Amino acid sequence: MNREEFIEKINKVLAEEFEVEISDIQPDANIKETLQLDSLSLVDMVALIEETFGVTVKGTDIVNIKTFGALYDFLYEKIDKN
Amino acid sequence: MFPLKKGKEIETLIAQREPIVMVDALYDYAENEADTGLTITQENLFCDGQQLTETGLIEHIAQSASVFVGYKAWLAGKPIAMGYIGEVKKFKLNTLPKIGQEIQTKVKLLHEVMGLLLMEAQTFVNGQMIVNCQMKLFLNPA
Amino acid sequence: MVATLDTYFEVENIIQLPDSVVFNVRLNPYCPIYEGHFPARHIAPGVCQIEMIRKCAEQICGKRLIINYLKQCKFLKLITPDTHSHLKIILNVSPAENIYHVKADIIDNDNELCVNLTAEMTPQTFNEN
Repeated sequence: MNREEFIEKINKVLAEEFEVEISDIQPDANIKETLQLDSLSLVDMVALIEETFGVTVKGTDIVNIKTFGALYDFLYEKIDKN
Repeated sequence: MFPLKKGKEIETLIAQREPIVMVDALYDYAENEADTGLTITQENLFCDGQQLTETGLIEHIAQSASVFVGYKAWLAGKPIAMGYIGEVKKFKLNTLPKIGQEIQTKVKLLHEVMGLLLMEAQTFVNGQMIVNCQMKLFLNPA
Repeated sequence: MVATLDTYFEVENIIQLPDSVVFNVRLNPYCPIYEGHFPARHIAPGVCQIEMIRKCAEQICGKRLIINYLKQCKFLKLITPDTHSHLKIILNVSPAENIYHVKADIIDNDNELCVNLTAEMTPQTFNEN
């Protein structure tokens, strides 16, 4: 999967899971604010990533990532290695 | 089925006590799932007339998840934690169980992230599924 | 005292707003349910919050209701009845044929959101065998 395809896929699943418009998901946008995440959402995010991309991520990895751009960088590296 | 733990023994696995103990048997345990049971009696806090209420079912499921976690801790020689429901999602009710019936629940651990467990559960009466849902449980050391 | 919904909470007043109904309720910190939940620390059981919401919805609809589908109920903050017994339950009930779409928030006296619920309820029919 190239990076463009990956970004398209992750945006789609995030938009569906958290019920937001795909157009709201921009590289500079804040993840927590855009997806309206709360203290319970982290586990949904981890579950979604693991089930969609077949990689293992830790909550401690994800919890400090602020923007979608940073998330793409972190995850794409993992997927690329797989 | 011969239970691994039953009756008062369940109190060694969870922090809840009477009048709100909603599991009376642990039938099976594996690394990521467990099977529990509860026979519904007239005295049950969540009995409304002839039936157990939906909230009684949710509490039974939450405590089934706590029993799973508690048994895991018991096997490892660790202390049990207080489990609180963080979220109930997609709770679909088919029918309410009646007094005298035994409900049996299978809980499965899907993910665990920073002390929050994501679980799915199905509850059966006489082999028929009466409820299924997803639940998030968070654990506080007791 | 026996632990029942009547000994668990009482409605102090009800305020009708254009789009919602607000129930100001008070939890009873002496309800025997807390002996078991938990002996070391009294925490309002999440399912009791769901029951309170159901009771309030029943009052709005004028009939007994059964929760057929609970789409989501988030418990965002623990409620400790010894320190936070006054709660505000804000309900929005939309009827659609035989289903009531219920959305509810429970806010404590720190003005913090404790519970957020979305569910479908239908009138309960009795003596179903």
